[in-house]
Parts: sequence; structure tokens; C-alpha cells
Amino acid sequence: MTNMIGEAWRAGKSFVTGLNITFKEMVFRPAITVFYPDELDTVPAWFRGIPLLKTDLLTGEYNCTSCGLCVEACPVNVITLEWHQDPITKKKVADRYAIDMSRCMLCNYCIEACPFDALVMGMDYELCKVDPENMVYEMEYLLRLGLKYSSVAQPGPKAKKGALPPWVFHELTGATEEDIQDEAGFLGRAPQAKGYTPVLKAQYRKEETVVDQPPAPAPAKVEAKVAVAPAATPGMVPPDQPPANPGGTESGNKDGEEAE
Amino acid sequence: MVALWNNLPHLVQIWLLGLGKGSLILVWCLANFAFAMVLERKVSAWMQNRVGPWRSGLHGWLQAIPDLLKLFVKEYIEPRNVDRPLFILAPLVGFLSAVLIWLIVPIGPGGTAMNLDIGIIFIAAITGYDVIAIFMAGWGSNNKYSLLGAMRGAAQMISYEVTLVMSIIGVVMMVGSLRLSDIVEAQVNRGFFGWFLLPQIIGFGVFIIASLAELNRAPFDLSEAESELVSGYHTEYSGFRWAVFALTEYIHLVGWSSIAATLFLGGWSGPNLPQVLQGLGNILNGLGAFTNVAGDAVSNAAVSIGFMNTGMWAWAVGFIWFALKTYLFVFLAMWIRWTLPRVRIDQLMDLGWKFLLPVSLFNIFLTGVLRFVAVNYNGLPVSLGSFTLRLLGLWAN
Repeated sequence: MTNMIGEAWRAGKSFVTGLNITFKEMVFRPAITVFYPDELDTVPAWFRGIPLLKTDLLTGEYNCTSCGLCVEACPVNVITLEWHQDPITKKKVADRYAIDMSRCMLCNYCIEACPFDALVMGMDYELCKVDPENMVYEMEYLLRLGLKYSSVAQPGPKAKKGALPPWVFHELTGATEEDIQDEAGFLGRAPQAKGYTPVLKAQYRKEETVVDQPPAPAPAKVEAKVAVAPAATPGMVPPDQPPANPGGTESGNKDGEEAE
Repeated sequence: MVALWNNLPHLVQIWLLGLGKGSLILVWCLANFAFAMVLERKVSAWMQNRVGPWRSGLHGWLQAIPDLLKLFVKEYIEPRNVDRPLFILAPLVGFLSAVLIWLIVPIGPGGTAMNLDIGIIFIAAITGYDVIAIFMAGWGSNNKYSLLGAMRGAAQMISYEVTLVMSIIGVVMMVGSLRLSDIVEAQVNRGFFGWFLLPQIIGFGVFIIASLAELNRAPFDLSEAESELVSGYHTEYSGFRWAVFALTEYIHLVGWSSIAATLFLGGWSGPNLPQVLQGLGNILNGLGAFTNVAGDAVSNAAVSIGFMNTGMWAWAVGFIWFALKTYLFVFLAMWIRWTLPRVRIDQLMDLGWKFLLPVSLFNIFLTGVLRFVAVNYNGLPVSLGSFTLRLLGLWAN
């Protein structure tokens, strides 16, 4: 008998506690609902929406060197890469770079494999199509979407061991085609020959000369970026590269920088 | 108009009245369903920090209309080897048992479709049909989930029906009548503190728990436990047949809430606007101690709208109070549903037979004793409060 009354008391108490909790949730907590089609939620910087191609805003070339490591890394084989070598610049030109997003599982392996920071996991969503065949995103589309994650390539210091990999948080720079600094630059420009010196647009040129002491910092940056490539993947670069290089003096400069 | 009505043959009058009342009850039931269903979804959403249905109508409050329209045009899927008559009849039987409750509920002063003198017994009797409906659906579906759900539902509802009636008996003993309008009148005469909520607090608690079980609502929704049985007895139903089950659930919920309001919260009784203003004026006047301008103004306003004490006004106020009290219980049921997890079948049976039934029997015993004492002492109103005061020698008489 006492047991029954005690249990009833305990049950009643916990019952009231539960009701109290739900009532508080109902009255005092606002809804966290995002009214999706009307307003879009902001996604975190590590959001994996779609692999996109990055552009070097200095010259407008895409960062991709058609090395094919992403194709190798892809576990579901959704990346298609076709390339040829430009006889003049001696660089590989990507003829087709396509991702079949209907089968892509957003595993991030392609971005991790890329040695040139040419891929970024974009936070774009709303990529649905009525026809699944339209889910194959071609290079132009990937470049266009990837433009807002692009920046002027910076030859930063090498990442320390154990540090956060650079692809974990993509940087949303919000760049558009207007932000390509080269006057001759355009979106989807093939990689230029080694030592190519961009002619900057007026506004960028002025800024560069005012801010930076060295007379030609921008070309140095570009070369530094290019210079990483042969070092990382020596097999990919044609052996006749040094003689074909038109800007020999600047490459010497760059070598000196690298040695430091 | 009245002459025309009086000239009609008696049989025609009866039929016309019946059709009219029946149509009104059906419309009222559907309106309640439309509101209660959206309310359920809204309440659950608020408790889970969501907003619930939002697109259709006034921030989603008209969601029931598109829902029903959609269900109306959906395909009827019928599995092989169903027991066809049972399968088709089951939703209708359940619907009938839910709608019939409204026949005798007083929704205003004198506002019952049928003022049956067996009131409560009638309700208990037609609720029994719901058991049959559930079992028909479960047996007719030729599906083991349906059958398991129906077995559970039948066991649970039959067990709790006993407890339910036992918990009501206390109220019936205090009123001396089974008629629901008499019960409301008794509470009107007893006043606010005489509503059977407090004097019958034990019966009230048992009634709430037992009616939740009777309604198959969480935490006692074992017969449609979606995590164990797919959807219980209405697993195989689709389209409008399923919609009828949904209708039944909510009409039943509102019906039982209205009965709870009638039995324990005084039904349609409640202060109307003149009375509220009069009371406010009295308080402002300090109960006559310091009569001032503001208190007089409020009192005069109360007198000037005194016509609201009578006729259609009184009926409308009674109806509003009734609806408010009903939806208080509807909300309580939803609140409990979205708070508590489902109980196990053995816990359910333990609760019903080993706890609620003895407690409700004890309630009957206690009510009887108090009633006896009260009747033998000047017929004072029976309540735990007055009884205690009498024992302490504090009661004047």
C-alpha cells in the first residue's frame, strides 16, 4: 500500500516535471525554423555542397593543371577530365572537366588530393535538376560557381604538420568576373606560359604600386605559384620546360626566392 | 413560420428536427476536427521549437481543408484477402461512436440535441462501439500489425472503460442524476468552488488518465504504436477511409474533452460580461466600503448591458465558456501526448487494474461517506472542504 502511494507520488512528480519542460519549450523558446524557399539559411564554412573549380583572380586562369589526381582520388569515378598540351605554352589545357553530381557523394577526397588548390568544396546548395542527366556539371559552370571562393593566389608558407588543412574552411571571397585583375583575363582562361606577366587593370595596378615596395610583386607571386607545381609533381611536367620558358630572368628571381 | 411548423404532421416534425440536429452536429464535429488537428500539429511544433503547418491559410490554420481534399482524391488501396464488409464498415462504426457523443453534450443553457436521462451511461455505451470498430479494422485488414494493434486496443479500451465509468460515478452520486444537463445545473448552483473539479479531484485524475487510454492517445497509444506496429489497426487503410479514422480520433478527443468539461469544470457555466463588470465594480468600490466614481461607473455599465444576462446572449456566453473549457482539456491531452513516452502494455494494464480501479473505487466509497454525512447534517453541499471544516468544528451550521 505504501509502495503504491509512493510510486504514484513519484510518477506524478516526474509527470509534472515533464509537462513543465514542454510548456517552457512551447512558450519561451522561439521556433528555429528557417522558412526555406523564402529565406536561405547560412551554412557553415565547412559545408560540402559541390566541388568547384577555383580561378586565380590575378590572371583569370583556372588553378587546375589537369594533373588528374582528383580523378584518381574519386571513389565513385564521377570526375571526367580531358586535356591536351598546348604546344606554345607547354601547359596542359583542360578540354573538359565535368562532375556527375548525381553520383557524387561529397566525400571531399578530390579537394584533399588536389595539390594546386584548384578545387574547393562550395557551399552552394539548391543544385537540383528535373532531369538527372543535367546533373553533370561542366567546367564552365564549375568555374562560374567557384569564382566566389577564388582569390589571388598567395604563395603562403608551407602548412605545419598537424595544422588544419587549408581545404577545411573554404574562404568565401565573393569575387565576380569583374575582380579578375588582368586586363586580358577572362573566366576559364587556360594556364599561361611560365613567366607570363599580366597587365593589370587600372584600379588594381594603382593599388599594387602604392601598397607594395617592390616594383613587380604580382608576377613574382604568379611564378611562385607555378613553381610549386613541378616540384610537387615532377613527372607531369614535360622535360623541355626550361628552354621553352620565355621569361628566363624572372624565373631566376623566383628560384632565388624559393631557395630562401 | 411557427404556424407552418405547428401544422406539420408530428412524424415530419421529428424527421426534420432530427435531420437538422444531425447536420448541425456533423458540421460542428468537422469544424472541431479541422481546428483540433491543426492545433495538435501546432502544439507539437511549438513544443519542439518548430512552427508547424504554415503554408495553407492563416499561417497554416486552414491546413485541414487541403489535407481532407487530398485524402478525398487518393486511391483506395485494398490488400488481398481482406474481410471486405468489416474492412469497409470499420471506419464508419468508429466515426459513428465518436459523433454520437455530441448528441447529449450540453453545449449551452438548454443546448443539447437529446436530453437523455441516462446521459453518462449512454456515453459509456456508445464508446463501446469504438472497441468494435478498432477490432473490425484490425481483423478485417488481414495484416498482423493491424491485428496486434486491434488486440491491444481492445484490451486497453475494455479495461479502461470500467475505470472510466467508476470515476464518473462519484460525480453522479453528488448530483443524483445521470443527465448531463442536470450535472451542469448542479454545478451552476454550487458556484465556482463547487465545480466538481475540486470535490472530485480523485475522480477527475482517474477520469483524465482513463479517458486518455480510452481515446488511444499517447502515452497510451499502444494500438497504433508507430514504432512497433506500423500504424496499428489502420495500417492498411488509405484515402478517405483513413481520413475517417483521423476524423474519429479528433472528434473523439474533442467529445471526451467536452464531457470532462461538463462533468468537472461546470460545462457551459461561467460569468458573462455584466457579471464580470459588476464584480469589478464591487471590487473597485471596496465591496461597498469606499464607494467611488470609477466603481460606480463600472457598476452602471454592468447594469446598462444587463440584457446580456438573458436570451441568446446568455446562450452565446455559455457556448463560449463551454468551448473554452473543452479546448482546455483538448490542449491538456495534446500537452501530455507531446510530453510523455509510450507505456508498455503490461505497465498499461498494471496502471488500469491495479491502481486506477482501486483508486476510483475508493473515490466512490469516500464520496458515499461524505454524502451520507452531508445529507445527515442539514444537506450542506458535499465537498472535501466543508467536510474537513465540519470535522474541525469550524462550520457555522
